Amino acid sequence: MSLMQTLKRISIWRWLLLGLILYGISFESIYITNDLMMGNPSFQELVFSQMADPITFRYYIIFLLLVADFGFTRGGSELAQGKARRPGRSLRFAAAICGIFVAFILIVSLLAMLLRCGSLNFGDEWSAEPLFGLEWVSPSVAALITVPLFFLRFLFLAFLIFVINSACKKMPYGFIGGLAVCLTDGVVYNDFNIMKPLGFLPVDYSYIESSLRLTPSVELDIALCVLYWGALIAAACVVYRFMHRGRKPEKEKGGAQI
Amino acid sequence: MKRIIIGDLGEIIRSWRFWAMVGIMLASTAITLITTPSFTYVPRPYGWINLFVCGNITDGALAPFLAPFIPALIVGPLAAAGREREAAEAAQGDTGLKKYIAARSVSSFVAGSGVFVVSFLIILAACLIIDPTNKTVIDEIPYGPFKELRYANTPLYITLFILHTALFGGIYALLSVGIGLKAKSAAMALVLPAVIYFGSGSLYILIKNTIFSWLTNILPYVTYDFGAGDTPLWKKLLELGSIFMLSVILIISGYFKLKKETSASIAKGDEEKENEKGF
Repeated sequence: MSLMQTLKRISIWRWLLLGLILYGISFESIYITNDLMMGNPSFQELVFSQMADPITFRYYIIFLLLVADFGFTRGGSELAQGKARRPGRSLRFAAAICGIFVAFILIVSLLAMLLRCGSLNFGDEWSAEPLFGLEWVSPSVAALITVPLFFLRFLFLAFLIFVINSACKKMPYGFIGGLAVCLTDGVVYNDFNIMKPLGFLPVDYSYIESSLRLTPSVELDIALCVLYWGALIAAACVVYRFMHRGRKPEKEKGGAQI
Repeated sequence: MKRIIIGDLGEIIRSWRFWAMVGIMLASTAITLITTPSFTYVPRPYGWINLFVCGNITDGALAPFLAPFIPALIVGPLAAAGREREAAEAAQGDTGLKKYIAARSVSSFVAGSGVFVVSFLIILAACLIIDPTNKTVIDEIPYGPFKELRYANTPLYITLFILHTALFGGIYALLSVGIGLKAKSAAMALVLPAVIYFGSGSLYILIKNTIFSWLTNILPYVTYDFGAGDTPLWKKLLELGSIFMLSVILIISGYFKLKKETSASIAKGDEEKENEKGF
C-alpha cells in the first residue's frame, strides 16, 4: 500500500480532531510562555516550549489518531494476511507519517500564533528569561535540536506500534508498546525520586538537557542521542525482519477508509 | 437478548484481557504505594483503609493515566472486529439487530464496570491482609466531590469511589462500543476514548469566552479522577453524562449504518440464491 493510500485510509474526522487538539495545545503554550516571559513568544520559542516535554505523553495519545492501525487492516495484521511491506519500506512509511505529524504541529503552531498574537515573530533572542533556564543556546538552536529529537522519538514509537501490530493477528495492540515507553519515562524519574540520569531510558535522550527534572541539568550529546534512537529503531527493524522472514509481500492494493 | 448478554459476559470473564486489566490495576496500585512514601512530604499510610485511599484515590495515583484504556481493551474486540457476520445473523434471526446491539451495549457496560469493581475488591482484600500498623498521622488534604467524607466516614468514601469508577468504566466501555460500531475500526475503538479523555483538556483554552464557556462544564477531561482535583459532583456527573450521550449517539448511528449494510447483504444473498435456483 502506498503512502498516499495509507493516508487516505485515515478518515477526515481523525485529521480534524488531531488539528483541533494540536491547536488547543499551541494556544495553551502561547498563554504559558506569555505568563513566563511577559510578552508574546517568538515562533522558535513556541515550538521549543511545546516540544520540550521529554515524556510527550499528551502528544503520543493524539499521535495514535494517525498510527494506531499502522500495519493493520480490518481483516487483521498485514503480516498475517501476507500483505506486509519490507522492513525498510515500513520504516520509510513510519518516517513519512512522523514527518507529517511534526509538520502538522509546526503549521498549527504558526496558525495559532498568527491568530493569538496577530503577527509572526521569528526573532532569535529569548523574549525575557530563557525558557527553562537555557542560557547556553538561542531559541533557534533550542528548537533545531528539539524538533529532530522529537521526530526520532516518534519515529521509534511509530515503528514499535507497527511491529507489535504486525505480531498481533486479530487486534491492533501496538499502541500499548508506546504507552509503556511513555509511562516508564514518566514514572521512573517522577515517582521513584531518582536524581541522576540513568542513561538508558528513552526520556534521557528526548530533551535538549538530559532531563528537565534533574539538578544540575546535564547538557546532552546530540550525536549520542542520534545513535541511541538509531540503535532502538534498528533493534525494532531486526525484530520485524525476523517476523517478516519467509513471507512474500503481496502486490499493493487500496484499502477501505477507517 | 439475555442469552447474548450472559454469553458476552461469560466470554469476557474467561478472556485473558479481563484478568490482564485486573492485573494492571493491581500493579498500578502497588507502584503508587511503593513510590508515594519516597517523597518526604507524604507520610506512610497506616491501616488497610488508608492504604487503599493512598494507593488509588489521592493525588499521584497511576490509575488515572491507564483508566480510559482499560474498558476499551476489554470490550474493544467485542465491538469492532469480525462481528458483522454475527450482526447479520442476529438481524435475520429471532433476536433482531436492535436487540442484538442493545444486548452488546449492556454487556459492555457491565464488563467495563466489572473490571474496576473486581480490581478494587481484590485490592481491598490485599490491603486488609497487609494492614500496615505504622501509626504516622495522615494529614493529606482531601479533594473532590466527597472530600468531607474522607475522614468522617472513610468506608463510605471508598464505596462511593468504587461506584464512581464503575460508572466511569461502564460509560467508557459504551463509548468504545459506539466508536467500534460507527467507525468500524478496532484501533479507534481502543484508542479514541483515551484521545477524548486526555485531549479534551487542551480544548479548555479555546472555549474560554462568553459564547462557548458553558462547554467547560461538559468537557470530559480526566473524568476518572475522584480525590485529586476539586471538581464538584454536578460537574463530574455532567462530564460523564456528556460521554454517555456521545456513546448513545454513536451506538444509534452505528445501528442504522449496520442495519443498512446487513439489509443490503441479506438482499444480495437472496438475489444470489435466486440466481443459483435459476441456473
